[in-house]
Amino acid sequence: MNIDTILSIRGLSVMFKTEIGEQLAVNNVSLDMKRSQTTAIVGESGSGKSVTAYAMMRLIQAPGKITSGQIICTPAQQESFDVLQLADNSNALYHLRGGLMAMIFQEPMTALSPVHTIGNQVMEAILTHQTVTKAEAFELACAMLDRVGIADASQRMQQYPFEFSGGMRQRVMIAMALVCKPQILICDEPTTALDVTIQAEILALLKELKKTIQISLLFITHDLAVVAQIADEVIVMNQGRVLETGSVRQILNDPIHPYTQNLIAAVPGMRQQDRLRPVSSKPDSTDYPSYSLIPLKGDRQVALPVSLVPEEYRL
Amino acid sequence: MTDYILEVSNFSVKFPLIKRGLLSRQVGEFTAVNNVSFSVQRGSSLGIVGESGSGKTTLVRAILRAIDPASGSAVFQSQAGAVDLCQLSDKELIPLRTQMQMIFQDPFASLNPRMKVADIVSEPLVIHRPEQHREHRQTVVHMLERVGLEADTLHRFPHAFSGGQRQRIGIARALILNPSLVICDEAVSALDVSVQAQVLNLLVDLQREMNLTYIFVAHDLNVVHHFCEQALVMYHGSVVESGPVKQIFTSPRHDYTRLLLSAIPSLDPDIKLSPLDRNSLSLE
Repeated sequence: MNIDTILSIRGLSVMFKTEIGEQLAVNNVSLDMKRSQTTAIVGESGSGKSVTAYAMMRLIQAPGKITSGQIICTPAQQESFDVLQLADNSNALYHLRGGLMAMIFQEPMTALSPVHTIGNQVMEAILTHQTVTKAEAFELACAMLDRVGIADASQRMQQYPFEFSGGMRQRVMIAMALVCKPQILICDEPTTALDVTIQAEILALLKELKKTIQISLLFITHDLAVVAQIADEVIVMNQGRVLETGSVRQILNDPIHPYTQNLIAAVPGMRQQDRLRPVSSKPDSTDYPSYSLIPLKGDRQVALPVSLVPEEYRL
Repeated sequence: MTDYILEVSNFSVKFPLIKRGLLSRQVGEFTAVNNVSFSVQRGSSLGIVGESGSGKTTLVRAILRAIDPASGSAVFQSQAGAVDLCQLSDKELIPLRTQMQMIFQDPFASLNPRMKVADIVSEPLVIHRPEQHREHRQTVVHMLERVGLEADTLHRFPHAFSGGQRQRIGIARALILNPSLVICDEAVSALDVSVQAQVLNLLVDLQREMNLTYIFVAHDLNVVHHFCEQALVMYHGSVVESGPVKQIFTSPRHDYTRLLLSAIPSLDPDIKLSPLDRNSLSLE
């Protein structure tokens, strides 16, 4: 593990007990997040991308269980530690959730409490993690809302979420996540519920924030166009496994794994094509047999046997 | 002469603004759809795009008379000849409902969780063709096959299906009466890109087989570009631009269309997203 890796997952498995037996939602996943970069996890519903992110913050609840693996976190100027070794209810875990890592959710209306003012919700995050007075917390919250582009912040802090539009609510979510200066920001489909124009605004905001406050972003999405715009590194997941990793240009312009190729071909777009090519003809198929990841040229990996990888990519 | 299945002219929908309280009264009205005119060719697909709040869903719901329009006309070529949907009483509309159907956005909310698939899909038949009840089962099985679901799904409840499968159930329910006009209100917005591709392909196949006309409401411009021949762009209740999809996408005339197009992220990481500034455009 090199020094500029802020988070490194090794052999993570998460199991859910269901009526039809034990299901591995995340199956022996290993991945690295580079410091101050945007890593995107791409996959369809059920690919295990959100569960991986929830495991990073230890938010997996029964009937789910982390069965094996390590999540090594190396915050700036601190010793690295294994997130999975922290005791439940320990101070370190409290500090991790919200303090070191923060999360933005897909649906800002359900993620915000409808019965508390915006100001109280942002201040709650500050008061939980920092030793400040209420007046100071108010000032901090106000400054952060202003920072994410909410005009008239001190007035709007008195308002409730229903008085905000979808894009504004997502800005509030970002403010709540950033107010304790986390080093890792997990964005779970943050623009999926938004209009395309608002999505462009939120993506621009996240990019600008990444540049100015040096935060490492983990971006979870199924929208490959969003990935193209925001990500530096891409991880493709399917059925709980990592199928391909590499830089955004490698994955989108030159995918090796057939699943990645199909995922890109399924995007309706400006290219002239008569029919879309869905990833598989049947829902819930397991067309892609499990192989382990092998390293390739250009610091990328693919889950295929060497014989199926074209010559020019092999090490 | 072009065969138009639906001709909408000077169509407006207004909602009353009501002051609440003991002495509640109407204090004004909000125009959700403002003087919209368009026509749809039989067998084609018309896309309606716009941001949330632009009135696109209100427009299609008012055409189906789920909401009553304030003014205008919507002339529908039914099997019995041309009728103005805005002039009919609720009772007179019932027989026409078999020819106009709707596919909804949220496959989780639009299916009754307490009804089995067989009952969901056959409900339109029970309402509109009760006299043929002996053939219902056969029709349902056949319809489910056409949308790609096995016959063993009949006795299961909606919760047992994935999002894409549920949307197929919704499509089966909409098509079982053999309608001529199908309104898809964000029918693929809630689906993953791969499942979305499956459902879009299915809709195209069914259009060819059953000679369907689609009105396709969507906020995803790429989907409309792929799926439709004609499109309307709506902004604040008005149509700001309409025409062939290719023309709208390659040479947009209205600033709002330019704004929408500039906000579409490209699949190419080297083409950076640079949306136009809303404030610098003349949008009204």
